[in-house]
Amino acid sequence: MNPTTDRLSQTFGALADPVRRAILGQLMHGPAMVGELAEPFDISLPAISRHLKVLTEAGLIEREQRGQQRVCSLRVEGLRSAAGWIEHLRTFWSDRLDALEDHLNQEKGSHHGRAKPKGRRGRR
Amino acid sequence: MAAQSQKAAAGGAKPSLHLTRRFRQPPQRLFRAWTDEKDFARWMGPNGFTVPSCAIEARQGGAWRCTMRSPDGKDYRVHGIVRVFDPPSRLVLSWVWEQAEMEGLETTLTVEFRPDGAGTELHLIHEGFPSAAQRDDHIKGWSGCLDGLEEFERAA
Repeated sequence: MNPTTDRLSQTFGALADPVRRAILGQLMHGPAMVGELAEPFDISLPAISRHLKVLTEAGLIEREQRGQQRVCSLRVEGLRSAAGWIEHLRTFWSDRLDALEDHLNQEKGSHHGRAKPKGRRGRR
Repeated sequence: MAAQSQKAAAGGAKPSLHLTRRFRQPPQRLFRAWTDEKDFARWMGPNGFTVPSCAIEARQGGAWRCTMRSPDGKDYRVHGIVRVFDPPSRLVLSWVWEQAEMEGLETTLTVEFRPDGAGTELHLIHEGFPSAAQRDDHIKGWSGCLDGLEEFERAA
């Protein structure tokens, strides 16, 4: 398992949808019932429930049963990590550039491959 | 550092990641590593991942596609269009994760290869979340959400 890629994919996935981003925007004002969250959208309750499920699994919201109602609220930790999506990307690309560096240096070191011999080395 | 980046991500209209790295090899070699399918597949997989398939049409407007397979066999697919193909100095790709739950989320990856002595200074910029169309249509939904984060955390 690769936690970076997995979290990146889950975070991106949850935020990729405009309805889900709008739901998060609504919940910024405080906890809300499922029916209230569905109101601004021209989509069915089951469709809203599916969006809420994705947001819950991504750790962005929490759902709890209060009597007959299901109440949704933001998970601050989850939201913080969502806002830090750039940090996930940073890790992903730093690792990839490390791998690129290794790949190119191996080619030059152990065998010549297709690399042309160089008169002198660059900095570093 | 992390807090600063988050702030930048929340405040800017177009959050982006910018990394710089120096390489001993010349821009031509770096450009090839990014645009030759076999070369690209050698280093693109995250640690322990393999890249079972990779295809790049090395021209402006060409399509590209890459599959990364995790050690436990799960595939992560990315595809996009080659927006700019300008060897050996600049490559711009649209970058779309293919997981069903991420459908439609298009980001842009720009890689610049600047001569640096005998080597290369590589600039990597990954930006465009949310995509331009999503940003225009739903600016309140997401930007408002991020802008309100700090306030929300204070209140919580």
